[in-house]
Parts: sequence; structure tokens; C-alpha cells
Amino acid sequence: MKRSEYGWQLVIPHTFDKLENEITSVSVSQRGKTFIVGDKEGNIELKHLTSNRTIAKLSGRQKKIIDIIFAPKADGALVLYSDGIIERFTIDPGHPEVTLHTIFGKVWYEGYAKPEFVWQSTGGSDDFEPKLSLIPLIAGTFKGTFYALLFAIPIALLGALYTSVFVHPKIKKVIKPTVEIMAALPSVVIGFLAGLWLAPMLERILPGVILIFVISPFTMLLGVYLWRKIPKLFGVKFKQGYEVLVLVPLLILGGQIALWLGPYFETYVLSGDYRAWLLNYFNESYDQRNAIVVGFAMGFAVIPIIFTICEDALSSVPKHLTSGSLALGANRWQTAVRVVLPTASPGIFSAIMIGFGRAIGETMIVLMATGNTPIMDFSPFNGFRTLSANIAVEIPEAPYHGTLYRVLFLSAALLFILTFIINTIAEIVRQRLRKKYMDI
Amino acid sequence: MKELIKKGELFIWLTGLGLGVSIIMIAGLLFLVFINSTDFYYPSAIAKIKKEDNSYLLGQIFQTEDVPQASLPDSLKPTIYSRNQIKIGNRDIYGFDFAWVDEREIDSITYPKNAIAIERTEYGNFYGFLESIKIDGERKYSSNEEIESIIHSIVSEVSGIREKDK
Repeated sequence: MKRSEYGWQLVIPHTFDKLENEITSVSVSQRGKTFIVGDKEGNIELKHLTSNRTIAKLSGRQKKIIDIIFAPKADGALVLYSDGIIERFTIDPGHPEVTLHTIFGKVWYEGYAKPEFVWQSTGGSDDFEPKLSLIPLIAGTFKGTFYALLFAIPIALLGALYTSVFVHPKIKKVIKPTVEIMAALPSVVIGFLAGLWLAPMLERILPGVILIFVISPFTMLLGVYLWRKIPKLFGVKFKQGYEVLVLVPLLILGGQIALWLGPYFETYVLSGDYRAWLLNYFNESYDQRNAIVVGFAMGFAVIPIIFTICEDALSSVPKHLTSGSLALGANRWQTAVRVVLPTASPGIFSAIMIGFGRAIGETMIVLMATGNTPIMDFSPFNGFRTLSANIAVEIPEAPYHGTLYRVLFLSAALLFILTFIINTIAEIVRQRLRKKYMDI
Repeated sequence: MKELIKKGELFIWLTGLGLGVSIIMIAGLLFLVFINSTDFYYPSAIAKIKKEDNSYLLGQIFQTEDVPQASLPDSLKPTIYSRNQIKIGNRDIYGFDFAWVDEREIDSITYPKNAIAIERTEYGNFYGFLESIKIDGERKYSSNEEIESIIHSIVSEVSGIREKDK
């Protein structure tokens, strides 16, 4: 049955293989979605509704079957034949709800309008139909990784380039360990802060936070302007490589201005309430625990890793290359982009891949800062559930050696395979890049 | 401007922006942890808030947030109000710990010196004034000076008993 505009409507969600003869009896399990059918010639078949498959064919007395009683735990059946004899079968159905199709394919579940990918492993009632599709979890894993890297890669790469090529050595000594402190933070602390402090706050100030992205390039331009004007006005001299010391206070100031302008932006541009505005114009609802929060929080885990490895790769570019480039008349930026970056590209690439690996396997931040809703939606304004968080959420509740328990192990294996494939590809690419730039 | 782009100076600043953001992130996080922990050692003063309708609230101002006009249906101008969350405690009397009060509802805020907050083992914090202290229904201290002199010795005596209990 599914709900239509006229109320409930009968549909044909599953079609099973035919039995050889006319069916005379059907008996349904009280727990789970297994059922037994028997036909006129005494063929008995055990079938499972969700997975659409025949689990077993029982061969009994080959007489017409009058009635079948399915044991309450689905572990046995009593069959009454037309000659008055009752036969008892012991059944071990195993894990009938799991097939490749129920795990990776669309399944038409009870009460659903159409076949869908759904993860919902447990329910309140005995006749609950477990929905064990791993596709929403895989999608969630990639969604989380995508938003984390979208935020982390640019910041880490730009920061590493600046630290290794442009910054003054005196600042570099302080900055590199500072950024590396980030990596020392336990992810449960980051997850806690993201879930309990950042998420509720972001919900209040989101328009201001969006304004930060608009305003910070302008604060950068203001920094450039001040950098060139102040020495002329006051006669002080700035050394090259100290730009970041001007930028940080300006960025904080710009952020403050953006947050201060946020409510006005919301009132005048976003018609007073950004959530209503999002729903109105983009048909997106805003959840408090969402991909933006996770993307930002995962930045704390991913940025320092990418930054450090990248910085090491960029710093180990031979000095004679950069000096040569500068001596030939290229400016600082040209040297950085045309000489340093390509030479360090294998290292940068592996930095990104290691960051990717960290993001894909990250559990605690995702667990605490998303709503863990296994949905298939790539909007940044709602949550998701990753494979790793799913294992952490469900393993305490999964019956030992039950179906869910095994599916969770399968998802762990899948996570391993995913990272294995990605790391292998990354290693191949890295080797090629290395070969290409080895001669220099 | 053109010259800046040509020389790549602007892009260098862009890379500096990346580094600046990551530094602000880590410094901000440490700052956040620091600020939230000092809150514990230096609690805010107890405020007595007189509302426009002549009712009073006593408690600590817990947080303040700006509310845009759209969520306040009775206002016509697009204005932003600030709204305070007050920890009023006394859950055994009111049934809830917090009250919300809009800035425009407030007539005046004073910080009475003799208001006290007591952390209790049950029903959360108590906020109020000490009128008098009775011990075994007999000895009574009701003037400010008497209370001032006796309260600290009572508190340390009681916490001494608690320590022994452990």
C-alpha cells in the first residue's frame, strides 16, 4: 500500500517467482518479513518480502497442503497435508533481508511511494521492516568529505604557500607550530564545540557569517592599501613577509563588521528571516546540525595535516631553483607559481590525499555535529550520516552476530575498500608527478 | 590595481589570507575555551530587572541575542531588538530556571549588593535576599550586620559537615 491523493492505494512492490502449482496456503512470520507458501502438489517455499527472494524450498510429503503454521520466531513450520498428516520442519533462515540488491539498490519498502535508498535499521514494532541500504551512508560520507575539503584545501594550500615562500623566517618559526597545534586537538573536543556551541550560534548568525566571505576580500584589499600608504605617511618601513601581521587584525575587524551587519542584511535583503527566505526561494530547509558546521569543524582536523605536509614539500624545493628564477627577473609570485608549486606538486598532492583520508574516516566530529540523519541530499543546510559515524552510533545496539551487526561490519569493510582504492590511485598519481619533476 | 595583479602582489596577499584564517581559527578556538572557562571562576553579578509592567526578575543575565523584526509581529519598523535570557533559578518555586525578557520591556536594571546566589544540591540555584537566619527556630539574625557576620561561619560549618559525610 502507498499513500496517494485519494488515500491509501494498493500497489505491486514485489513480484516473486511462480510456484509450480496452484498455491493453497500462505503463512506470514510474526517477526520479520519472511513468509511460507505451499501448493497443491506439496511444494513449500520460504520467501522474504523485502529482498524479493526465495530463501529455501522445502520438500515434504508431496501431497496437497491444507494449511501451514509458521513458528513465531520464524525458525520452524507445521504443515497439514490433505491426508490428515502434520509434518514439522525446522528452519534456519539466516539473514534473509540482506542481498546485494537490498544493500546497494533501490527497494520498495512498505508504505513508501516508490523504490528508494533508505537506511533505517531498527524500529519500534516487531513487524518492522529493516531498511539496510548503505547508499545513503556512502553518500553522506562523500558529502561530509566534500564540504570539509571545500573549506580546508584552499585555506591549507594558500597558508602553506605563504608560510613556505613569502613569510619572514622569524614569523615562520612561530606560525608553523601554531597551526600544528590544531592537529593536537582531540576530535571529540572539536565535535563537542561544533555541536553544542557552534551549531546553535551559527543558526542565529548565519547571514553575518555569509557576509564574512563577502567582506574578507575587501579587508584584504584594505590591507594592501594600508601596506602601501602607511610607510609613506609615517615614514616607517614594512619588511616583506610581515603581511600576515597586518591581515589578522584586519580580518578580525572585518569579521566583526560582517557579524554586526548580519541582522541588517537579514532584515533588508533576506526579508527578515533567512530560514523562511531559503525555503521560499530555494525550497531548502535549514537544520541546526548541518554540513556547514561539519565542514568548518572538520577544517580543524584536516587543515593542519594538509598545511604541514604541504609546507614541508614546498620548503624542500631546492634553493637554487628559486634563486635562479628570481635572478632571471621573475617576481616573487611568478617564482612561487611557475617554479615552486610544480616542483612540490607530488608532495602537495599527497598532502591533499592524506587530508582526504582523514576527512573520510573522521568519526567523532561528524557524529556530534551532524544530526546523523541518513538522507540523500547534498544541500549544505542539512545533515548527513557517514559510514564511520553510523558504525559508532549503531554498534552498541546491534545484536551480537545479528543481521545489523554483520551489515555494520560490511560497512566497515566498505570504508576500508573506499580509502584503499583512493589511496592507491593517489599513490599512482604521486609517483607519476615525482617522475616528471625528478630531473630538476 | 593592475600593477598589483601583474606583479602578483595581490595573490601573495591572498595566500596570506589563507594563513590568516587558519591562525584566527586556532587562536579563536583557544580563546573560546579560555573565555568559557573564566565564566566559571568569575560569575556575573545578580541583576534585578524592573519591567515596564512593574514586575521584577532577579537573576544572572545569561546571554543576549538580537532578534530581527520579522519574529516580532507587533512591530512595524524593521528594527532589531536585543533579548536577554535571565537565569532566575528557584526551580522549586517557578518550575523553570530561565526567563526571557526583551530589551524594550525593561524599565531599569540594578545590581543589588545584598542579593545572593546559592548552589543547592536539589532544584539548582537559588537567587534572592537573606531576610533573616533562624537556627533551630530560636536564634534569629535579621539585621544586615548580623547576617553578614554569621553567614560565612554557617556556610563553612555546613560544608565541614558535608566533607565529613564523604
